[in-house]
Amino acid sequence: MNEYHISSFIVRCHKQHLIRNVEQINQLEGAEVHEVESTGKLIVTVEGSSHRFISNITETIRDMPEVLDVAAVYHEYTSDTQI
Amino acid sequence: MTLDRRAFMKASAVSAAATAAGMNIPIQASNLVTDSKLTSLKWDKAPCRFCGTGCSINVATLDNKVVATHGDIKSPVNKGLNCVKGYFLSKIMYGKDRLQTPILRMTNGKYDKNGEFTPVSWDTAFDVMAEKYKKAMKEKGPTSVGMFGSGQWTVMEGYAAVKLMKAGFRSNNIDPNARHCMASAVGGFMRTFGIDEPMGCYDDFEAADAFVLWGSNMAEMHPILWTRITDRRLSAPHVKVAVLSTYTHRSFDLADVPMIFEPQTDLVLLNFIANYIIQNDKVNWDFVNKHTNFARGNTDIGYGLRDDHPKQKAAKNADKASGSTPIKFDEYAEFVSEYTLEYASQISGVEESRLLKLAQMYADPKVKVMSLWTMGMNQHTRGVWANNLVYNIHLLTGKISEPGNSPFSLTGQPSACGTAREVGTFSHRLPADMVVANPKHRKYAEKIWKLPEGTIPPKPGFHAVEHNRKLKDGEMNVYWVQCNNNMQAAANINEEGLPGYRNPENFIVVSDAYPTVTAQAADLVLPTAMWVEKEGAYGNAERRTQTWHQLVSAPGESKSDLWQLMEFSKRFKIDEVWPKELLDQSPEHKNKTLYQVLFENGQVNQYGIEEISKDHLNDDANHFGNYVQKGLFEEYATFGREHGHDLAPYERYHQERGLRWPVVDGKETQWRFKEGSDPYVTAGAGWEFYGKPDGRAVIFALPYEPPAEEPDDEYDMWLSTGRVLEHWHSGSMTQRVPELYQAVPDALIYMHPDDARKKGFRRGDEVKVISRRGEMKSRVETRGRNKPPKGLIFVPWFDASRLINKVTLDATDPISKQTDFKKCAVKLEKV
Repeated sequence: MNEYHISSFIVRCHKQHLIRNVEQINQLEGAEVHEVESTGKLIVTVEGSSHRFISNITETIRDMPEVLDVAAVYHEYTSDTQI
Repeated sequence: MTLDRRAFMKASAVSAAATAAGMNIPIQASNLVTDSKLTSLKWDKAPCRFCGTGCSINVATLDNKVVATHGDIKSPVNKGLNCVKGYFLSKIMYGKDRLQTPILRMTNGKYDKNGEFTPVSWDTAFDVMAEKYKKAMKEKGPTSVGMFGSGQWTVMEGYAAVKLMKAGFRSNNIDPNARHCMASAVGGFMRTFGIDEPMGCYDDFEAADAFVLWGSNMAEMHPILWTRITDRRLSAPHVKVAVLSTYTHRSFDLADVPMIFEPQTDLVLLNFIANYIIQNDKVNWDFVNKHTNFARGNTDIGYGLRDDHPKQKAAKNADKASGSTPIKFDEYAEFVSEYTLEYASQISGVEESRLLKLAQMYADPKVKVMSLWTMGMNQHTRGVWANNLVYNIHLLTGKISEPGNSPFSLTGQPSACGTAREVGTFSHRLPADMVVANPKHRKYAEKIWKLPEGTIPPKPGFHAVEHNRKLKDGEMNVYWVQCNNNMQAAANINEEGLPGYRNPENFIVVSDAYPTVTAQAADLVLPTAMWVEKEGAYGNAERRTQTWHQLVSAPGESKSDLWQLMEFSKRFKIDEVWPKELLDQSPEHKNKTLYQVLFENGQVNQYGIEEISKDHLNDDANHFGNYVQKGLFEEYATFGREHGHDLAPYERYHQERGLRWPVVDGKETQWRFKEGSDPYVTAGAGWEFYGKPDGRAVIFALPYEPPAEEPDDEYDMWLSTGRVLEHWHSGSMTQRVPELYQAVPDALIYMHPDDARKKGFRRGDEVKVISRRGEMKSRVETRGRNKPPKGLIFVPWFDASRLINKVTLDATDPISKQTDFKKCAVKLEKV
């Protein structure tokens, strides 16, 4: 199925590792850090062609050693033909 | 797809996350999301249908389908956040194997217990069902029929089910799967406070200085609440987190005081803390003298096994499990004095220094403590005791019912509180904490229901574990399961569950959206509407009642549980199910159907369909010709109003992100039992535990008693079961979302690498887990997120192809009748 999925997350990490986490997340395909708060909060979007892709990326972020929490916020999906 | 559209979707995602995080929305995103031309989605609110946290979710529909979700920024519970389970909500209704028509086991066009599932009409399904009900009740009376429901029923569905069973069929054999989940918590509340459900609320998360997790893995099971704890811990450096468990899990990432204890020794640790408080003169005497009593609970109470089980026969107080006698403080102090630091450390395996840190958190009057627990304490052969013992600590120190000081029992299901507990869908209960055994309570219910005295049978029905036993024994012959997957969830299915369902004398009906293990073991399966395919209400763990509108149509012939219950009641004349003496008392009911007597009583049917929201669907109301959800809710609410359980008028809930009961004079209650916050507390009292006649909560002397089964030479390992984040409960919904299934595809056997090495296993080897009751096969995992200590294995129980409950023991807490899934003895063999 030809779908486009977009999702957003708030990632919480130890603030001393903030810059490293931002770099690591930006290197993941489909992932993008949009906002950074010095206390350790990041706004991240993940986009891709399936849920599976997105859930694999979020799991990778969750398993980064300095990441404490990944909270999902938004999810929308659509097929190309719908628009 | 146009770039505009894609950019708009992304901007919406960024904007929602920034808002939820309390951060500035990037200007570009802000400009895009206000351009309404770019979206044709219709947004509404609904509580999430997964766990007991009760998050509010914004749900977008397009062409009668859910296409997007995001955390509701207006919700005080989740404040715009969502977890992985809730995050995939838009997909749970669209599994390829969704049931769309009733299916009945048939051979040559006729019902046959050994036949193949064959699609039939609703008429045929109900014809066969009604015939089975009538035959069983005629031959054996009302106790031959039973129903198993759920904390996933909406409030109205649970209420209609209780009414149909207890007043209609006059059988108290109705129990929810919350029995497996929350019964010990209820027992704890009723015993200590005389009224069910937490006194505190989620606002405690931002006020507490210390959090203690008793066996709970909130990082995976209650992720949104865990996010709130994480936020509090990171933003206030003095805050400490203590995590207690029988194995290491994700919540330990945030733990300042991590503690791995030997199963069952939580009872020792809790008594040790009480002893520490007393020995160090940290008792809050003013509070204790004014607001508590002391009691010694009966001991040697057995393990809730069958009466002929040797352990049951040996127990002195098996039939008086909940009994107690009043004692004085000095006697209590002497009782806990044997629970010293040395003894606690030695029996639990936790270092003394960590136990001291834990005890100091509770003892220090300046530290506000929130205790949190779920299944670790409730699925415990001494679960009610464990709940009582936590309250002891908070009562000794007066750390209760005020912001941040909060013993908080978390729940597993979206309406375990709202439906199972508050509506009272248990075999012994009625709405608003009333019980069938109390003649005044029965009379009160009969009056509200406009039914003759004596309608509700006084004897409590069979509880959940007994259901399977009575089906197996052929004492209960017709059984309807709604909203749950008990063949996967109940313990010991090999010896009790499956033989009961497949007993040739029995007829089993399962209502579900998907062909679960339970549905496959049934004789008739009814396709069921779920979540926003119907209008409903749920009640979460902090007493918050929330409603939602129907947003999309259910597929095919699927109908809501409510429709099924009410429509089925039309198949019975009251004269067929009630005895003559009851009918003689109420001649006006003669020749009426159960539907007319129960649901056309001038109350349930009093609100016209013109009151339904013009912007939403409501298939149930349109079918029955009145606003049936409102009618049921309002009739139900009369039980609790001015009775400590006040609910607001129904329509208000459609406007709010829920309200916490008691709702008095339009205002919700955050902290019960505390003057100034709870309108039920008498002026000048300070605190008042008004569930008890004298307004005092009870501090119980209860000892450590060993578990029903412990590892020995032959069965040398502990087995503990639990869940993982991505699979909610038995996985019947989440495993329909391929991405969730992909993340954690099969239940693994988590074990310590040293144990694996000793037994000659390598990571990934297939091994058998064998208990005295059965066995299952799976693969060894020595890494990953769950890290058991030596001597214990952990197996999640979501996987229908690897049923760990063939192995678990059906020992229960003798007071709550809740099963202990957390500990039994097993051995492992390589396949």
